[in-house]
Amino acid sequence: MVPSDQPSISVRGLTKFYGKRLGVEDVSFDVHPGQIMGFLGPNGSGKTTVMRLLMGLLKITRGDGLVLGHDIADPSGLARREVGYLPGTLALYENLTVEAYLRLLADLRTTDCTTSIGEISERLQLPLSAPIKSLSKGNKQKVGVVQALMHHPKVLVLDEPTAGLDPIVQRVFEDLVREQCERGVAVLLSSHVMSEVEQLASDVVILDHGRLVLQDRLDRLKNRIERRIRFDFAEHVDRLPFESCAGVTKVEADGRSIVCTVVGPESSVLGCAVKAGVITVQTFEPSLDEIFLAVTARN
Amino acid sequence: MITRLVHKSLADRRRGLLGWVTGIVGLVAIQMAVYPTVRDSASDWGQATESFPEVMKDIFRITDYTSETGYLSTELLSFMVPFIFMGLGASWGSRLVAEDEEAGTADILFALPLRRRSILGARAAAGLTALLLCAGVFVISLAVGARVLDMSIPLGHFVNAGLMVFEVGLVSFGIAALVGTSSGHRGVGLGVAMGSTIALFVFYSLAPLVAIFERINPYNPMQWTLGSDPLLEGFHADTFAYVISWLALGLVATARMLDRRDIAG
Repeated sequence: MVPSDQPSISVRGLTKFYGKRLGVEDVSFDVHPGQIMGFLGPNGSGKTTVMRLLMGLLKITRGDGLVLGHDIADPSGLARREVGYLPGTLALYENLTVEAYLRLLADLRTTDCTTSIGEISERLQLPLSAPIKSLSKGNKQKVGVVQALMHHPKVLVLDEPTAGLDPIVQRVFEDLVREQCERGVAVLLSSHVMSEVEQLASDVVILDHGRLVLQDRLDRLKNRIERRIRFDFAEHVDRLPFESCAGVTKVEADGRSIVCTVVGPESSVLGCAVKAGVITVQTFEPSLDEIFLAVTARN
Repeated sequence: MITRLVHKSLADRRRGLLGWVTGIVGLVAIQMAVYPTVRDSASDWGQATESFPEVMKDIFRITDYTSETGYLSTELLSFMVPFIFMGLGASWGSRLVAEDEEAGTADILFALPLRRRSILGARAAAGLTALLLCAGVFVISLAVGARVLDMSIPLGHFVNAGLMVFEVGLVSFGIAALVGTSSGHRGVGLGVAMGSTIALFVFYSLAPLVAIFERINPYNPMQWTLGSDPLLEGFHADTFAYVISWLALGLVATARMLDRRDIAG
């Protein structure tokens, strides 16, 4: 789905101090319908603070935020009406069964979620009749996922959603999120599993020390980070023309191969390689891991 | 559908509630079982209580110990049952919101599209229901005991006694709700509520002996609630309205505090 112009989540200058201690400062970003925004940052960078501010759990020190056009500071909870939220530290009512817990939440939302509870639980292989206290950490996390999705929200705020899930269930979860995205749900996804964010998210926001340090589309971001391109030729070629190409920061020659480290557009170095009679080109895209480390280390 | 939260709060604490109810019934049963002995040797008991120092009789409000009303007032209503209701009120009041915050379950609950004060209201309604239920059990226990012992105290007077201890519970409930919800810590709410209501009780008890306590006694909630003999006098609608008004004010203040602070996660 193509993101619409009207953002589902919009925060401007969002600032939170816990007494004198900084939580987050001057954070601004938008998430549009159908967009999955990866929300990254080292531990303590303020990701959870932003998510809890969005859910009205924390009081804003400065700035403002809108969810589906409703002020997140509005005590009526309108902003949360069509939001599914999975907190980073999940605690459930241990004395209830899974089904009783989910029905309680559905009743409090005054929404009939019977069908969706059954469907999502089946896909996640979650036993509805089991007492929550008897569940493993992974199964409790599944309960968290179901309660976030069961009321067909238009916005999803997911804080470390796959913590404790096995790889098979992680795959199911990723499918569920993609399906939500296809039906126009805006997703704010915080995770330490970079590969997961890389697979799901089209955009990323990176926080560090409570401040937003980077926000971009993932593909554009990759262009902004150093990456390596390997060219193979039929015979030995001179490295000098490559060193003078725009964006090339380093050239390594090894027999009939040349490996260039490039920042920004690759057209110049590719043109040079074509002129030299390149046979094969292999690009080593930076992983989100590398981007994350590069950005946070620089910060 | 907020009533679901009221039901859930009561259901979650049904075992604890059963414990309080059993305690109240047990205490009433034991004290009433002793009464025939007192009645049958009224003159001995009368002499014994007459020999008590006046100070002690004033503190424990002992008057006419061997009569049905005097005995029940002294043994049950002077401090034992009021203390149970102080504990009950403090226990329920301190956990309105703090229990969810301490357990970590508040994140999902308060992320629902509900006003914080609605959640607080549902929890408070559950607490007040529990207090009322226990007061009802107390009244029924007294009425049953009186029937078994062939006492001549009218049922309406037992209802007065039930309302009196309910009021005592409301005082500690209100303090615990305010402190527990403002701080987000159940232990703080419980401790402050119990400490302050016991202190108020001590001021009330010592009022006949200490001039300064006597002067502040009209403002002491324990005087409003325990200051009359419900088994002899009628229902004091004015003190009841006083306590209810203060509780309402306290709950409004609690809701405002909750609206203004972060939910612990």
